[in-house]
Amino acid sequence: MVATLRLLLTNVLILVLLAFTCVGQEKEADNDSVTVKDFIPTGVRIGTDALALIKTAYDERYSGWELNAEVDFHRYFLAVDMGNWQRDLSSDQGRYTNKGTYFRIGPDVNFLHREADKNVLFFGARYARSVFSEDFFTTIDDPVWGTTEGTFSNSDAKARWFELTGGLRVRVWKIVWLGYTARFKFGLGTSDTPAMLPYDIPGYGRNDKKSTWGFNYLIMVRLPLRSDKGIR
Amino acid sequence: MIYLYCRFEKMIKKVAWILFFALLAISCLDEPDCYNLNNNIFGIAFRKMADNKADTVTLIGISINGTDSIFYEYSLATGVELPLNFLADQSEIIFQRLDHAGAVTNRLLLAYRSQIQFVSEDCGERFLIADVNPVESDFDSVRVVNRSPGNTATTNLIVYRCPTTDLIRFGFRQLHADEDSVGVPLDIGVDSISADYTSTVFFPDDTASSFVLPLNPAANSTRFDFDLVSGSGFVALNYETTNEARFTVCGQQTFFAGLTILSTDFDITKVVNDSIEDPPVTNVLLLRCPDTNLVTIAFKDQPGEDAPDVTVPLIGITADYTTEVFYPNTSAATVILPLNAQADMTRFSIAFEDEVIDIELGYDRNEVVYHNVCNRTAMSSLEVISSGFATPPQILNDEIVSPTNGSNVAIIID
Repeated sequence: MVATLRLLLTNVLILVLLAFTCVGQEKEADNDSVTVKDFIPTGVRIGTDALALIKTAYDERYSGWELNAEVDFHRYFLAVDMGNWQRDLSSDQGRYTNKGTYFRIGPDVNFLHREADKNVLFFGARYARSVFSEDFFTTIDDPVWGTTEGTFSNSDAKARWFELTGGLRVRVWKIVWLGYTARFKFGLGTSDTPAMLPYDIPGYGRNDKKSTWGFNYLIMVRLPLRSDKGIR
Repeated sequence: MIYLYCRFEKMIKKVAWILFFALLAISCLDEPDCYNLNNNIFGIAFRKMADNKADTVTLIGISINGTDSIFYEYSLATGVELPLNFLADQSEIIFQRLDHAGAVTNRLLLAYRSQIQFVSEDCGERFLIADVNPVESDFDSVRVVNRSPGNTATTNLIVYRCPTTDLIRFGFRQLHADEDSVGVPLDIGVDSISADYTSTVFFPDDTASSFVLPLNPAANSTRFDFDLVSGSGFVALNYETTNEARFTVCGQQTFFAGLTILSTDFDITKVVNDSIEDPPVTNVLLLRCPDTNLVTIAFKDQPGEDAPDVTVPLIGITADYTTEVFYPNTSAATVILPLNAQADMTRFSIAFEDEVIDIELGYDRNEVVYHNVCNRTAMSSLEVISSGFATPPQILNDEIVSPTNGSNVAIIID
């Protein structure tokens, strides 16, 4: 966990350094052109998380999808994500299943907004919520309290958390874009879980982690809303 | 490199791919592990209300409803860690313990919230208990310090005990023929101890070097009668009492002070602490005068002071001045026997498995007073007058000393 967090922070740090360096480049460009701040969106980028689809295909314990959309306002983006995942974890002594839907919303700041192909290096934040259900059947075998079977369920449980995000969007062919988003998730809160403590929260991950991280590899298309030539 | 990064799209793509694979690899390492399992271990500390210090409790056993297990069976403890029943929302804990009045039972009912959580396919589930609340208790006082149990030792609840104000400790000690006025602890066998204000029999058939006994709170004196295995004696004590409520939950209590000896028939009785403390400290010493007539006889398989002692089976040893049988049906390498202080000679008959052999010891006697009150007969110039042993017994030390120090006589067993 510590090693993972360290790698994530290293990644973020690299991106921050790149971003500030790019800001320096931007100042050099200022001498050559006139900046026109236009907050009217020029396009909408929509896509899906390829990792969720791949994992769904190859991991029989997991099924999920995620849709992502973002629209630009000058160098800023409004990002909205919606997803669904369910897990089915079985062992000799029991079975855990969950299912739920989540969404995220939040702004991004593009540090490459002067780049000719509109490639994006961004940092942002998200507010996320999840509504999910869980079922857990288990055989409890304890040396003091004996052996017993039980079924525990949470239906319509809720969770919310926050995220710091960073990532890239790169145009690979005409309107087709690839990119990734790394997420540092924190501030988890759950409610309506009277029967059992949640294990896996769709969109967040394991409930026992006060902070965690996630990663999306996105395949997207950008639908232009208007011409943006000359706008920097 | 950074300059190029911002300038060229291809490099951006490469970096994106590199980071992508790196993060994907890291994500594969993020497998769940068996982290914290049940947190149902509830820690209880015992403390004294008077000074907030640890209280050592003599536990007979602790039981919890829902299980047949008995915890802390016959043990001394200043705190216990007990597993709460995570399958229920409350646990009734029964403490059986000993205090000076005998067996005492206390009940503690804890209510809490218990929730299960899936951990992993390998680890199964765990239970997390929170919001523990002592809803019923017949202890003097309890205080919650942490409502969440753990999976390791921690203190969640403190049980306070009202001060015990009436317990006095008697200490038996053996004096020697020297200047030491307090001697050494003496294990003494008692048939029973009784007090003049109650029919309760204390310490029946017990052996100890000190005894804790309750004073009479309704009077200013108490007499204790000690029925000992080797005789009897009594001590009557005077004291002052005051009634006050030092702790609200304890109500009015009687406090004792100013202990003095009213009367006694023990050799020497001393008050060394005239106030009652909790836990009891030694208040009164019952001192036994030194034994100056004890001769130590060693059995050896060859002559000589340095020859090793050998253990021999004994049917018993008798003396010519008493009907008492010493060392009945036992095996011993050395025996300590009382010489007759009323004569210059003592004959011992030593019964082995197949024969009885006599030995007559002679000595000089001298009347002396130890510790001002102990009139004793000092013995010296020990000699073997006669014996039935094939090899004549040897005198190793002709002085009878107290405490005994080494062997006086060596009997060579052929």
